[in-house]
Amino acid sequence: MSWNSTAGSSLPREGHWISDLNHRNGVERKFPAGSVKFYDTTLRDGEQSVGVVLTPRKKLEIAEALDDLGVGRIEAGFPRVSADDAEAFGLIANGGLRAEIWGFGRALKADIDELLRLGARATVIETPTSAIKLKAYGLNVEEAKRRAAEAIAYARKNGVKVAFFAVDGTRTELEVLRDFYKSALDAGAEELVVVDTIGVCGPEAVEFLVRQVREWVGAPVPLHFHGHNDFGLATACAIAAVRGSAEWIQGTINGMGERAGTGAACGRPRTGAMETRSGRESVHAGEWGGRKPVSHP
Amino acid sequence: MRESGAVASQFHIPEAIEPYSAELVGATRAIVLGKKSGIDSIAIKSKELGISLTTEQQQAVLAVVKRTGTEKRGLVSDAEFMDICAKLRPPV
Repeated sequence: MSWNSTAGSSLPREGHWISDLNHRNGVERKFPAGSVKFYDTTLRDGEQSVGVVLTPRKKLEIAEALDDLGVGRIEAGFPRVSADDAEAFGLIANGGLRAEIWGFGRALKADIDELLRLGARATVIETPTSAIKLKAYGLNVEEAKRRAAEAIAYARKNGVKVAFFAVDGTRTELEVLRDFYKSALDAGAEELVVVDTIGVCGPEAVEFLVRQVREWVGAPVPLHFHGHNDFGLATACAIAAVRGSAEWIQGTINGMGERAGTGAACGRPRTGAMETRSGRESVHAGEWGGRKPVSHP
Repeated sequence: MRESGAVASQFHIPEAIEPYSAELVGATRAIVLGKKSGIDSIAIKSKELGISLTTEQQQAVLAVVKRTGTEKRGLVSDAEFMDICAKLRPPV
């Protein structure tokens, strides 16, 4: 057995001692052609970890380090949360980074206005979609869809690219979820996020759901996957989402985030797993060397 | 342990914010306070500690809790919370 097999992968030739079993007939699963990219939410979901406080300056430092790593998109924060979050967003959005800087907001005009004030060019707009989340927020499906459509249209009218984020999507009835996504696209959302907010799906279920969303919306709509690690499956689910045709994987440095955190966007095991399992280029080989300093600030 | 204000608003419906019941694994559900707390975090914590606050007082306490959590870059303890309440609430 060869320990240094990197056949079909963009991994550097030296220093990988993974098992050939991954590429064995009957074991290896097919992945769609194309590249997979990271959308980093360390500065938003990551900061939601209990007790974590990142100052605006620290957030800028982290953003610069992520940018050096070649991360495609950086979610610089949810500015409506606090003045500090807004300040951090502004610093990063004007920081001259190569990464595309994204915001985060609820389906509320005030959240979008704050993003506009800070010069956001792209944002996630979230709304709860599952029955239990809607009940907790005192909303019904029609009201939630209406709010989402209004917020998305408002952002689009102001030149902001929108990815619609279906909170607790993995516990939403499929027909309801389909309607939310279609309504979001009709209102002007260009991308969609498949979200396992409570971390309750296994990899097979995630692959199914991403594939299902792809069937509903077609090939041209970029799909993201955002998972949580409550059962230790976030990274496996991210790989499954890629198999289901997701183009963007949302995650954080070291997997920090709400409750048990998210999948690690830049930790070595995760990108190693993605490149090993899929043979797809997620971050080019020259950037592997930079990961440890970012993961241990 | 949950710090986020948005989560505190749903704390009364565990299945809305958690993947399984705390009782299944012998865990305790709790709200902790810090930079990310919201008004419902204050309402839940003050009730837990037997402190009665008006809505206006809750808002004032929330502002101090968030500032304290940000400045110390960590959580605000129950003792610190009681101290904040004592300073903002006229003695009965």
